[in-house]
Parts: sequence; structure tokens; C-alpha cells
Amino acid sequence: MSEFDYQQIDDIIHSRIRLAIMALLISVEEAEFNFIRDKVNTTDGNLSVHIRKLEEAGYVSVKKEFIDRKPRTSYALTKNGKKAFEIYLNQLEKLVRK
Amino acid sequence: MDEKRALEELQFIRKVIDETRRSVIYNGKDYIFWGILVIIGMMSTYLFVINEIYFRYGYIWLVLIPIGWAYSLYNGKKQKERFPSTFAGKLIGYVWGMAGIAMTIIGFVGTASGAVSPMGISPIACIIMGGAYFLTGKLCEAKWMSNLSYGWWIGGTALLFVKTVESFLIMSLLMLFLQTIPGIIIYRKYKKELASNS
Repeated sequence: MSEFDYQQIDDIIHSRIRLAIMALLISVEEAEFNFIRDKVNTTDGNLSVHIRKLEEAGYVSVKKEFIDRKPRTSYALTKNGKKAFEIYLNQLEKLVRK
Repeated sequence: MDEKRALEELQFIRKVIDETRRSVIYNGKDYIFWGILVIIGMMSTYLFVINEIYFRYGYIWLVLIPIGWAYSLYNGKKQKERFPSTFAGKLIGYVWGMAGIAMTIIGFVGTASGAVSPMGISPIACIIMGGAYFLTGKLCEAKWMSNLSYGWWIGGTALLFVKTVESFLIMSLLMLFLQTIPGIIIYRKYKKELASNS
């Protein structure tokens, strides 16, 4: 892509909350639901909706387990997610440099 | 999307990444455990000496230090299971790991080889602890923690001149005020944060 094309901006990532989730997950190996919710400063319901979108796009993987008999749900970026985030960043940088 | 919006997005991404990398969730249990452990070691050595009960006091530490390491590894594993490992969190783990290894080598190998006098262990440990607290405070952006390092360095310097049995008492006091009590403060803060998040 030689010139910036707004149509190529990834709509899945291009939302404030999903962008924040992606940026947060790129900084850690994996993060628990409550940690993401507190950092992103959103509600449980809202976070669930946005995370599901990222999951459906194959950008985020989910791990459900029990620790000390308590359920724990954690998320991590998949290989595709990392790649998509990288592309998204490159596109933003291209637009800024334009 | 225009240039201005793109720039805002980039700044937003940087802010989220920076905040996440800096965030540290720590329960402080290690500080409390090690504080109590060293106080037990110091006070028992002190009491054995003043009551003229002589044996190789190094055996006390041979029991206590592995207990401390085992607890730290267990606590670290528990923390890792519960919270994400952030960049700052990892660095703090490395700092304390390095400090612990350095003090263990000086304490055991240094004294066994005769290169370090038994009375020299406490001041050296204090100076290393000062460095570890200084870095931890900087990484957590907690000024009060960095400031504890001055206490450790002053205490370490003072201990270089105190070569009597009272040095065990001084070290116990340092461990109480500059290790155990800060650990309790961190633990209470951690509990409060957990309660507000649940």
C-alpha cells in the first residue's frame, strides 16, 4: 500500500474500547477480565461485548480456568491479533506522516 | 479519519501501553515474610550470644533462608496466576531476585570462604536492600518506597561501625521498620484495591 487508504483501516480495532483492549493486551502476556475492565475503565457488560467481537475476529484468545475454586477468565492476543494491531499502527503512522 | 484523529489514536495507544507496562499489582507478603524471618534469625542469634550458648549460628540461616526462598517462589507463582505479568512487575521481580541471590551468596559462600566476616553480612545486606528498594520505588512510581532506601543505606553505614552483638538488634529494628511495616502497608493497600475492584 503506497498511499493511505481509509477503507483499509481495521474496523474491528477502530473503536476506542477495542483499541484500548488491544493496546493493553499487547503489553502483557495475558490479562484477567477484571484487570482489563479496570484499566479500560468500562463495565462488565460493555467489556464482554467488545471482547467477544475481538474473539470472533480471531484477534483475542480466551482461557477459562479455576484457581482456588474460583473461576478466572483471561485473555491474550493471538498471532493474528498482533499482526492486525501492527498493521493498524502502521496505517495510523502513514496517515500522520501524510 | 484525518491526521489529527490518527495522531490522537496513536497517543491514546501509547498512553494505554505505558500505563499497562507500569502497572504493578503486588501483595507485599514477601516483604512481611522475609522481614519476620530475618528478625527471628537476628533475635535468636542475639539471644544465643548474650546467653553464652555457642554453636555455629550459620545453621539458623541454613534453615531460615531456604524457607524464605520457598515462600517467595510460592507467592510469585500465586501472583502470576492471578495477575498479568507487566513489564514493571517483571523488572521488580528481577531486582529482588538479584538482591536475594547476592545476599545468599555473600551470607553463605562469603562467610564459609572467610572472605566476608559474619559481622559484615548485615551491613552488606542493608546496602543491597537499599538499592533494591530504590529501584522498586522508581519502577512503581512510589516515592515513599524509594525513600526507604536512604534508611537502609544509613543503617548499613552505621552497621559497618557496630561490630558488637548489638548489630543483631539494629538489624532487627531495620527489618521491622523498613521491611515488615512497609510490607504491611503494601498488603493493606492491595486488600483495599481488591475490595474496591470486586
